[in-house]
Amino acid sequence: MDNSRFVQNIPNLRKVTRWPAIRERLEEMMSVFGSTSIVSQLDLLREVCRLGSQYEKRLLQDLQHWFQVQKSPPPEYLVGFVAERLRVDLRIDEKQTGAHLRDLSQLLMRLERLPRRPRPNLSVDFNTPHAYVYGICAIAAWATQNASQLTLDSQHERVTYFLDRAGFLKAWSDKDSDPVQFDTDTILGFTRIDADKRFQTDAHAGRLVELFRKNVPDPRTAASLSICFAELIENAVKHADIRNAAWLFANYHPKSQIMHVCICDRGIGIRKTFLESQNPRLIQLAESSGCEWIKEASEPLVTSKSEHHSGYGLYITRELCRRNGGLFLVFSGDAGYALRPKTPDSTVSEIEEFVSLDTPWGGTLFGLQFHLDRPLEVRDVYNSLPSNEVEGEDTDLDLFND
Amino acid sequence: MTETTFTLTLHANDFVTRDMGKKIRSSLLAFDATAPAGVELTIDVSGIEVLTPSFADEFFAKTVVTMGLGQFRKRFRIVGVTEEIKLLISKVIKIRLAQPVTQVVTAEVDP
Repeated sequence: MDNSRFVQNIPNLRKVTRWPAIRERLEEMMSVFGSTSIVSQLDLLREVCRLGSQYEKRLLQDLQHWFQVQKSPPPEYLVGFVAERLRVDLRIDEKQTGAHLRDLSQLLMRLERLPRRPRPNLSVDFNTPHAYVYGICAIAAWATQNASQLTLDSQHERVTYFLDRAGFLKAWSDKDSDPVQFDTDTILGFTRIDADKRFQTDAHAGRLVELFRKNVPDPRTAASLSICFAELIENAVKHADIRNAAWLFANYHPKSQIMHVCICDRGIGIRKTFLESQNPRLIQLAESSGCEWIKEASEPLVTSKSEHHSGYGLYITRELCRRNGGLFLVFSGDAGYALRPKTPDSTVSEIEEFVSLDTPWGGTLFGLQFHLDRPLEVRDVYNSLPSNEVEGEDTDLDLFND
Repeated sequence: MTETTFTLTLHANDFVTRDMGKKIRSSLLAFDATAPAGVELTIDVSGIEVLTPSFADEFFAKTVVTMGLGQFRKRFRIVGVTEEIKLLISKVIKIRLAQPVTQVVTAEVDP
């Protein structure tokens, strides 16, 4: 492509090349190279970025836009140049993969502090041999909304290997790929919940649990997991008002018989759904300071859409975790909440923790941990639902024929 | 011969979302409207492994609220339920019935 036409196509490049200092430098380069057409576009861009650094971001944004509006694919060397200039590195250390409320809050805040205009090329370095799905899920969701590219560059190749095997990067970058992926060796599965295909997400939870079936042979446990996955997906799709894909990851560890699950969206967040509700108590909670309001989202029958919804999903999920001695984590906006066991051997989780995020998470994340060698009985949770019966406890509705 | 059984598995493959519950509720109400008056109809739930509270609320509880418990009881019998699903359906119906009148959905039926 002719350089003069190239310059004309990129508004900020056109502007910067009029600057005397840059003009002078370019003329110098041209004289060395002998003709205007010899000055390569890359040299031109590098020079502009060096001399007009305050224009660099806008210039790169222009180029990104130009790539989008071009009818034919943009030249690879230019795409490479932009990706290189926009590369943002995120190094994840072991603690930050998110096993605990405070560790995960650090990662979420680091993600939120990354530059996002122009859209960066996020390069994630897992400097750890183990990564929980909580951190991976958060990165997937943040990058879906904010990054133009996502690369994994690991000091320890194990995490990258796991994600590669499960087809994570393909699912992240290719919206036409199958949104449900599973790797039998690493027992890692995930689903991408596309905002524009939300009515096709009905079966995702079932498909994902079916893929874990070999590792979850007990049908009651599998059914409880299905209900849990489905309610979380429904919650993200219905309440979070997602514009970008949400992600659900699950990973089973056969030795410890523990399953980690995480769903993360970049939607409007719980506080805003409370504020938009017609429930004065929820509005009051959302307007309060501190972070205890976030726990309310998982209380029974709490919903921001009182006429059409009943708020079963999060309560059932939290109760399943609690009665299993598992972990229930939720982050939304500037608050985080965890319900965890006192010790790893505790069969019931009763320790509550809260954390405040200086840099709010723009969306909602739920992290769960289940012990699959312990009962996971959704029936017990149904029994605990407060039905406020009008006709007295244990009233038979007389609707069933056995 | 007039059909008197509404089999859920003939209307959907999964019973997970509110949208699906709402869609099948419309079908059930249409089935009710076309069936002969005074005939007891059956809602067959057999063959369903996973049915979420959200689906149960949208399909069963809202239908009961729309029709009224007495009318629903006269018209329909629910068959093929596991103990777990029976418990869930009973719970969501009782919760809906206990809600204030202003929160009750009256006729939210798709055309």
